[in-house]
Amino acid sequence: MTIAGGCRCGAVRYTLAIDALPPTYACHCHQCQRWSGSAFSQQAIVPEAAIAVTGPVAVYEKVTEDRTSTQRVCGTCHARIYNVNTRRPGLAVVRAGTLDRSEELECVAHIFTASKQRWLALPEGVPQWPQAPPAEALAALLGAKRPR
Amino acid sequence: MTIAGGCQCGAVRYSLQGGPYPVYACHCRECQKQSASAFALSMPVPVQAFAIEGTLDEYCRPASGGRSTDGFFCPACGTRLFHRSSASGAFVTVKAGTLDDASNIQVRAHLWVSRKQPWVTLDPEVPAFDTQPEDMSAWRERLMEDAP
Repeated sequence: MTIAGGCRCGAVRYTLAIDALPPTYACHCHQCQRWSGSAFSQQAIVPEAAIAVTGPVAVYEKVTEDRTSTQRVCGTCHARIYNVNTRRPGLAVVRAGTLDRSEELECVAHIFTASKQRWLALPEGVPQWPQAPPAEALAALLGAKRPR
Repeated sequence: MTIAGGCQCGAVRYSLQGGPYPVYACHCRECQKQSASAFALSMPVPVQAFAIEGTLDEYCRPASGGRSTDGFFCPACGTRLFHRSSASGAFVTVKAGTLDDASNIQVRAHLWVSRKQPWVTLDPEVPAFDTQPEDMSAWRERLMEDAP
């Protein structure tokens, strides 16, 4: 079984070679607000090798001090599909709103909540960090929910 | 009062005169894909109050009745900044997450909550539509008039 997704206009489609919808987390940092144009980015972490993409992909690179983030977006409608980061080789961060079954997604953690938009109330009991989470803690949360 | 915003890389900047302007969230599948997140945040602004600096690229999406919706984004970093519909040329719809400071935006309505991701909690005081108002243009105009 695979999980499928795609961009807004349908020109780019992808599959994830995983058995169930992945758990997701929300990042509320300013950068993620800008890139989504919304309140947060919602992402799932999968092995890069598990993604198969078809269609016209455009690439944007963001270079900062210690890393290069490579963003893959639809070349037609510019919906963001996934990114990889030189600090996390082999892992891809999928923009979870592009999954075909996004209406069923769960969100298991919220990070960078210090910059969260104030109107948005987060569900009680879901782990959250004001800044970056300890990598192991987030990985444990994302791993613990898999497979459903 | 001037409100400013822009894309991720800083190549495109915009400013809004007046305001604050109301914001609504749309939870439809298309908005989840376009934002790659759980919902889109739209802030309608009169065109005469909106000024942009920098070069934009455009994605034109055909809509019903021979109309179109144009999405404008930064060609350097791909950030989607605003939409304009041929049905209603009097305003642009700014992607509210691209504001320099979105921390205090007020979300006045939720559309397409029938597609909402289950974990997103809504304020029961804020109007919510299962789908969307029948006449979106008229509804948006009322929303702007009613804004405090």
